[in-house]
Amino acid sequence: MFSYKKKNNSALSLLAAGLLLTGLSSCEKVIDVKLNEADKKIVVDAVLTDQEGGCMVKLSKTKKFEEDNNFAGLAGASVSIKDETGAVSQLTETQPGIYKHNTLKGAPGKRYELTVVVEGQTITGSSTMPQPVHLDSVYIKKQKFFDEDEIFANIMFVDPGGIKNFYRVVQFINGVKSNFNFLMDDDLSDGKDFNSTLYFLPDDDKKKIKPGDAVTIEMQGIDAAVYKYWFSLDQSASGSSSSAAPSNPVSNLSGGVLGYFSAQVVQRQTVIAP
Amino acid sequence: MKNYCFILLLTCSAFVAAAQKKVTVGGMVKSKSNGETVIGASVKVDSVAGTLSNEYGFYSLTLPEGEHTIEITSVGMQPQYFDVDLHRDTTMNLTLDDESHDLKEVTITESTGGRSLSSAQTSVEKLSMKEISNIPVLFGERDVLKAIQLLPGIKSAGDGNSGMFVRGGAADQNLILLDEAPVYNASHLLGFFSTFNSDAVKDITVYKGGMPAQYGGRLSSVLDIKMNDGNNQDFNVSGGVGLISAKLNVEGPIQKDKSSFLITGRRTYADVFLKASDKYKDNSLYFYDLNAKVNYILGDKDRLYLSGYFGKDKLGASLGDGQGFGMDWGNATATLRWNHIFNNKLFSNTSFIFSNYNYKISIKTGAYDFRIFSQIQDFNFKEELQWYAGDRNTLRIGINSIYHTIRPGEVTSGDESTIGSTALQKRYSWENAAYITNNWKALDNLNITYGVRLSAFTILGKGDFYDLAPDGSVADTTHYNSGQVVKTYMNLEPRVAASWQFNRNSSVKASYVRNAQNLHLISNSTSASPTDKWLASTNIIKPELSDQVSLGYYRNMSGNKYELTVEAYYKTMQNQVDYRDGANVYSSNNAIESELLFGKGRSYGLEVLLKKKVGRLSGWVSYTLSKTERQIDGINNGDWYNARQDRTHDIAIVATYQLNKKWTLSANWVYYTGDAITFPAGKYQVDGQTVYYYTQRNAYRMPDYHRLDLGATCKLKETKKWSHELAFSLYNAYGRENAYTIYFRDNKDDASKTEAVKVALFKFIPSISYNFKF
Repeated sequence: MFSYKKKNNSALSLLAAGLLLTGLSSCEKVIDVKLNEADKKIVVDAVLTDQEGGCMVKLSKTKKFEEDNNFAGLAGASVSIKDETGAVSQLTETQPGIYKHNTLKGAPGKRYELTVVVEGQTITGSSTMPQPVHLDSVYIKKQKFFDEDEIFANIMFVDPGGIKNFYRVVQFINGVKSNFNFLMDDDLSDGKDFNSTLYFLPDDDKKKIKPGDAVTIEMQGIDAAVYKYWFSLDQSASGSSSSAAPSNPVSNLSGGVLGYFSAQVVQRQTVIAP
Repeated sequence: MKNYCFILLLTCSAFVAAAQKKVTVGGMVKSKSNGETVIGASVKVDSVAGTLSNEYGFYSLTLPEGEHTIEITSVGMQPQYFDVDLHRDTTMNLTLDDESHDLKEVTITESTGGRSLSSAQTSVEKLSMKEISNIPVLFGERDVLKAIQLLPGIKSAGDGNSGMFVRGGAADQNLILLDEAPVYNASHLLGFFSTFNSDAVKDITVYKGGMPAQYGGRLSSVLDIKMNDGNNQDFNVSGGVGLISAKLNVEGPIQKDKSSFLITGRRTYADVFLKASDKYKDNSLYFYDLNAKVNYILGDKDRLYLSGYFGKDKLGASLGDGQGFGMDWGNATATLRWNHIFNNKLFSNTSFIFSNYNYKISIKTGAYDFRIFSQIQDFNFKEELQWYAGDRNTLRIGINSIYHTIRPGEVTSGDESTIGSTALQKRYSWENAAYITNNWKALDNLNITYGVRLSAFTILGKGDFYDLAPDGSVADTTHYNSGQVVKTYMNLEPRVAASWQFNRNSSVKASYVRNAQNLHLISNSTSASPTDKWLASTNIIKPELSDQVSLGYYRNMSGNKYELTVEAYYKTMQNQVDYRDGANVYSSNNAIESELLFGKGRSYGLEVLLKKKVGRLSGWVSYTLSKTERQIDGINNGDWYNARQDRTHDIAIVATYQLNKKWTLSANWVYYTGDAITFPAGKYQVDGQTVYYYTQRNAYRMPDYHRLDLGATCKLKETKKWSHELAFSLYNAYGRENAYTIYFRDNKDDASKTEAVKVALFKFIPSISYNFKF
């Protein structure tokens, strides 16, 4: 749970800098940076959930910084997921680079192994699906934040005691994914009641929650390695420069590729912001 | 063993009997006006270099019997000459007058002082408080740490960051001492200011290399800051009011000539304006600090000093409804010292020192209600003898013993909090050192200082200690009971330096030094943060070691008007600490070692300093050419990479011009190569989010940094009784938008594009402050 603390520290630093500079000029400018080109690398974005239709593996390659962000799929791969009994399910390519299985779903407590064969390379990775934790409620509340009224989503659930749990929460506003990961663990909160505000301060006011918006919260139960992946991504690969040493997220895949494979339990709730 | 024999041999050579009868003269050097002892005053005999007064103002000279002229000089003081006829050992206290302010012609007679050509000490920088007082600064807040960063080899960590890098070392490799007490976090307000109130500071000396044997425990530098003792002649009140802070200094005799006190306080009041504004009225942001000192002269032979520092920063953000974040942090130090003069040849100092640094964070939002506390605390004992063993040898022998207690993190939670209470294990360690060093005047123009420091760092229980598997996970845990020795690291640190003086105006010097460091600061952000973590060495974290050689050429020119210093250094560092990719240094995991990686570093460079010390125009030009690299298995494929603080060029120009009796103008300009930094080599999408792809560590550069600051001081009135002045400054005069950070993001309007964004902090910051003294 110390990750929560760390975020607050940086919030405090920002606040201090902000307060200090109130009335002074601090400025942001978009600049040109000459970046060297590197060899393209394979990216695996692989998820197996506890629900049918939730199994999807996206394969792509890294792009140059100047290129657009549009997904450029890596087609023609063989993608399969093997369960503990040794049963192998083959995924089919529905669009270039997107591999799906319509009926395959995972069971909590079971370990799954992903195998991707592409461009003559075999990539493997495994993940254990955690036990589900019930998302009790989602509510939207207006809150004073540095004397501005801000609207944030809140989630409530009870963490099961005696086991390590890792959560990733994703927010959608009117179906559009908010660009942040809310990561929580029970390091200091084992067995406690969670009632957590999803502080989200986008650079653009248009991306904030407004009254009448449909806010969907997806709570994912993930394993330790996947938590590490998202934690390290947030810390060092999201483009923010507060990290001392930018680096690639810690992957749970073999073959020196980028990305992750997560067998995760997923719950969603949608509420309308009052 | 070989080292010991060598030292023994050299020491013995000191006692070769002298042919002529010698007598010893010794005593204290003091300022006439305020009774302050004078540190580092040059005491010359018959125009030949003699000695320097020590850090307590004590000097001792052994001379042939008969008539001599003693000349004594110090920066900011009028030179004094004494004719003496010595036939037996004599105690002679010397007093110096302040430089006169009533000169008919306006000239700055900053008397010779400056760098000693004859002393074997290399890589040392000193700034007088007078030099510091004219340098224009941010918000008009004079700052000794910012001032020394204008000297070669000492690099600022950048705007909004008080950290400094000395000869390629990291920010935690500087030993910062305030009246001998280590200061663990020397910054206020997240690095915009240092903890040292320049009003309370008497002397600042920075060792970049060739550290004398009495200092140890950090790899890169020693910053030795001495507080004023307090005027024992007259009462004095001085103070100042600036844009963001006010300060007051009161000092005076308790009993004239015998004892005195000093109290200096400083507080920022930006929060007063916050309170006035509706928007921020529930937020707080301020710091204060307090320096206090008393000293007693107990007869001719003894003197006691008690000094203390206490500082605190407070930061709070309200989220309304009684919810919010708060953070406060601060240092406290106390030093009790006893000077004893056994005789004119033997001086002793005994110190009891306490240092403490802690921070507290409180968070109350929704179901989260908890406080975090972390602390490092030292009890420290020092004993040192300085033995002026003859006309050619001065020995220092001492011991130092420090007991460290580190509380890495303790969480206390409210009853209803989602976060439960927990505490990381406390860590205990006992750091001991013994040293001996001799300053040997081998020939009239050859000085050799040689010595050794033996340091022992003992890790004590109670607590769990770990063995790690190659992937960093804990393989085995061993529990130690309270007081049980986990491990002791012994390090022998040789210190050797020599100077050869060609003639009256030039000399060369060389030195070799080894340093060991057992306290390591772990930080996961680019700028220093109050919550950076101090760790003691463990069975896995080995002592950091550095070996440095330096070579210098020193020359005084145009009748001592100019002083040129050229130094080159090469330094290697072992057991450097870095963290693994994705490390969570704030985890409740006690085995912090599992988040760390270890490697080595090297740094080399050339430093040039040209100083003009005399005349209406004074100042200096400083230039550093350097390279700093690291190699750590697990980072950058194990290849050498540029350390973040690697800067190729670093230039500072500092100038002060005395326009007339009323006005003094000043300017400084700095330029340096941008820090080494990691930029992405590409990008990709994961779960609809743009993620950046990195290949090489620190392969890019921030844009070059440069900045001009201007200052002007107007003396409104100046008499012996009372003076006041206005100081103006303009920070970043030509408004250069220096990059504070560069980050990458999706374009706001077109999310299919990414862009690089530069953030700059300061543009033209004017300030005005009013200072008075009576």
